[in-house]
Amino acid sequence: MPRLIANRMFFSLFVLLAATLVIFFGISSISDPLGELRSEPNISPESLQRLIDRKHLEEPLVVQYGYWVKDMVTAQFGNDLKFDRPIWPELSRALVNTVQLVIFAELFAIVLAVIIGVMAGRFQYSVFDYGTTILSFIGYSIPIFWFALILQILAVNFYQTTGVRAVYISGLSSVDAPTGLMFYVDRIQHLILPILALSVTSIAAYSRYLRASMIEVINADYVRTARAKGLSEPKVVLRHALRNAAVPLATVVGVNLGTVFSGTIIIETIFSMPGMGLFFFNALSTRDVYSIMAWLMVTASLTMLFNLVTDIVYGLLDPRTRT
Amino acid sequence: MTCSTSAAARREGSMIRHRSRLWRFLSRFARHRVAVVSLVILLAIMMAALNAGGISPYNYDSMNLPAANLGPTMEGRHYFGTDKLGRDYFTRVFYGTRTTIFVAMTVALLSTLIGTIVGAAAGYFGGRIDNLLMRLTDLVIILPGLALLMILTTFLGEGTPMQVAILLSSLLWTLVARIVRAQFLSLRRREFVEAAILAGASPWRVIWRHILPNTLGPIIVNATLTISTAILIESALSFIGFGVKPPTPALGQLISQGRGSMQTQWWLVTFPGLMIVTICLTINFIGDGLRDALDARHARRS
Amino acid sequence: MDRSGPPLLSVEDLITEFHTADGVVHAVDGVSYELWPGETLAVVGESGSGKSVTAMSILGLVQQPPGRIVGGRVMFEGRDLLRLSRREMRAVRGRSIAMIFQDPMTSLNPVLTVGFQITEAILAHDTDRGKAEERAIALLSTVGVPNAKERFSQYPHQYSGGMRQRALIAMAIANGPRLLIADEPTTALDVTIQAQVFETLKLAQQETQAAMILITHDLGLVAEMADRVAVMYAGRVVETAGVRELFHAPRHPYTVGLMRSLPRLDNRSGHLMPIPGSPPSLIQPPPGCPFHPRCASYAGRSRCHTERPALRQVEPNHASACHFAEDLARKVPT
Repeated sequence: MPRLIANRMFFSLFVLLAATLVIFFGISSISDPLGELRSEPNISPESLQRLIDRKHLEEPLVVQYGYWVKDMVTAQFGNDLKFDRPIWPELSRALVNTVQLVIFAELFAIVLAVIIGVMAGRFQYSVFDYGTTILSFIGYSIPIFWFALILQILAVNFYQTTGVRAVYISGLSSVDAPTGLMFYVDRIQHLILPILALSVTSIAAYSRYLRASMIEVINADYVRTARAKGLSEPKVVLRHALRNAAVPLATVVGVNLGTVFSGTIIIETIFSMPGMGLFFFNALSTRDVYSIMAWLMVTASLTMLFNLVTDIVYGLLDPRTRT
Repeated sequence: MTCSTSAAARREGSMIRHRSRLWRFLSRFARHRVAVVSLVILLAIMMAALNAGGISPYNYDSMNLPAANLGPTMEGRHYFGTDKLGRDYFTRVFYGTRTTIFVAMTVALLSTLIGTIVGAAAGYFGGRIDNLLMRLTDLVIILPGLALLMILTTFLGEGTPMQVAILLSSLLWTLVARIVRAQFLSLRRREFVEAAILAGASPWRVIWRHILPNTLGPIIVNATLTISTAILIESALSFIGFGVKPPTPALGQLISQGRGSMQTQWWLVTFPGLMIVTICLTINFIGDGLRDALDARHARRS
Repeated sequence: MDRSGPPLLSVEDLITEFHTADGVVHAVDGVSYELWPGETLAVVGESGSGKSVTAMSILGLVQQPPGRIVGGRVMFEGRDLLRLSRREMRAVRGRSIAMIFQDPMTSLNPVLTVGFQITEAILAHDTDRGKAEERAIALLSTVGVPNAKERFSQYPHQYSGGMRQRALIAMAIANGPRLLIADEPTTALDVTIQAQVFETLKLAQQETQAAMILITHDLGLVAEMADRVAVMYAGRVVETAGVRELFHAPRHPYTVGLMRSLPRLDNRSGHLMPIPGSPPSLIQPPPGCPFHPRCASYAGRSRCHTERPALRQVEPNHASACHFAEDLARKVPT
């Protein structure tokens, strides 16, 4: 097992290396930082030259690539292009917030999907099954941003009719944030709607997958054996059926992560949350290629890390892959 | 019996065979009531959108300030209400739908075309080509698609529907390629393919006449579902301003514009969104029906 | 084997149906047989004859829907198993009655250790947690799994096919059942492994003194292990007899056909003699006797295609469901 992890990590590093190439040369092929800097009216000639030197913009691309990687590894991505501010502090703060959101949303989605999928698979063709099937279809058809807006409208209406502030529609915490336990309650109140909106597609996808998996597994011979042993139905369904049905879900979650990160860009915008999405927006609006590339690298690394975790989980769940 | 008679009989025989295969497919699809209803609804919407000028007395941008900020009402035929400049929302939503459908269909077509070619090559020839192509798609999958599209739009785009469609296709083909490759990989090893190769058929012929017809089913189903995916991504892009840019109308744009006053003028956000949901829902049901109709094994118990 | 006293198990007129898109499948169409303590009853028949479904019905393992047990009784230790509540039935399964299934490759849960699965069987009916593990290891040892202690913590994919089946046998006898049902226990295994598993089965029966229902289509196995045999066809029992009587003097045309189709060393003709025709549809079985379309003795007699033959005694300890069973006494060569 440890050897498996080491293997995957080695492989991941390799992919990340390839990613640096793709990201750098990809962005460089469509952008022209040198030209943009030159046409920028507000920069003095000295600052201009300093920026050019700092980023080696007048040297061949390959050399620039080398400096960029060096910056990434030694100087935490260095400074951004136009304002010469360090990239990492803001990026790392944003990172923490977004990762928080993604982890909560995915955990929520998995738990809900397991419940729905197991019940729907066990009681195939029941009212519950048909109902959740229709809900899944709707889940596949809803644009996340629109769903988020609707949630906001509903939340405000709820507040207006009842006067109770159950959930918040923007920000990460209240301005006059309480301390101690209430701080966490306040944080949860802010996170509920974003998590709900972000997890809709995941719930739809995971629950369908789990349902299909359960249907396959529930007819397996070993489930029959479990029943023949005289085990109670919950034990049969949970310990034998679900345990097997859930294994491939780990892979599905891994593959879905790119979509989830895309979703955070939109959700953070709508709910005004200071995360990677906002960072990315700002970087794009100032056309700051270095921030953009840093963002891409961090996102790619995150995705790879999460994929590694799901692979480990898969190995834990299915002993056949360990040998 | 002369030659001409038997030739005619053969022709008719093959026609009957053809018709019955298509017929079987159509009748299986027809049994899926939800899919049929969805198809009808979708076609109605599409026809209305294509004829956006003709379904309403108003123009996309004809302002009428006295009639501003109306909720949905029957008078003046403002079924979806009006916006703050008095423009009829029903018209605007349908014009936006037209753009969205155009982009989505183009994306489905382009990405399916490219994805099929790449996936077929990878699945059929295997080896180095397969490896290369798969590493390529892997890299694309790692990075968040929306972000890539936003980057491309920032540096390359002007926001015309065609351009958005091309950019979207340049990412979505990878999904098609994976599916096609998987199909080709499994079919490649089947006996009838090996037989054809042994008989001396060129790769082109084997692919075109033997493998491709058998993969058509999943490809078509996937293409249909790609339309839905494309609509969702396109409207998200337009919403955040990185997609189809004004003055060309788009549903995402409408939602974004209506966002500011959504607490009071809820119809500005609701109707375009409902349109998106309806179209995607119908497409998903149709795709489900297609899947059942093409593969009897997956057919549900009636 | 103790034939004095009441039978341990008495299946009476069991009827089990399956509702499918093509119609109602009469998988078990009025099956009756009895089993005494310690006795081995072999249930023989082709695929689709209903032998497995009968066993599943006894243990209440038939999926309802699409299956339904619509009639009959299954008397076991004085109670009708079909009338038991779910909880009562669960207490019976794995404890008083245990079942061993056909395919060992898929009958064990791949993500749990073998040891855990055996312990689970013990714990389902007994709460002595500490001893359970020891007992499980001892069981593995009894059935002939080498290095039982190590093997206990291994996963099914680390066991060979024969070992898996033996582990399943260990699981079945874990709680000392009075009745063992073995559904084609050796069919899915290589011939050489079959012998080993079959020895294990005999050992298991000795250890527990349990009665056994051995479902199989392998007449060789029947000859070696069974005390009595019930032959099934089209969801019905067509003949029951002691094993010797069945082989020497079968009293039903189907059994005769089965015996005759066995390859024999003294068969000079060089031809095998299969039973002509194919098994009947269970949705629309033939009227009267279900075997008549393929029966060598049929000869168009109207009773065969109008009246369903009942299973009746034709000799002491020998019953047959053929209107003309007596004719066969005269015809079969020794």
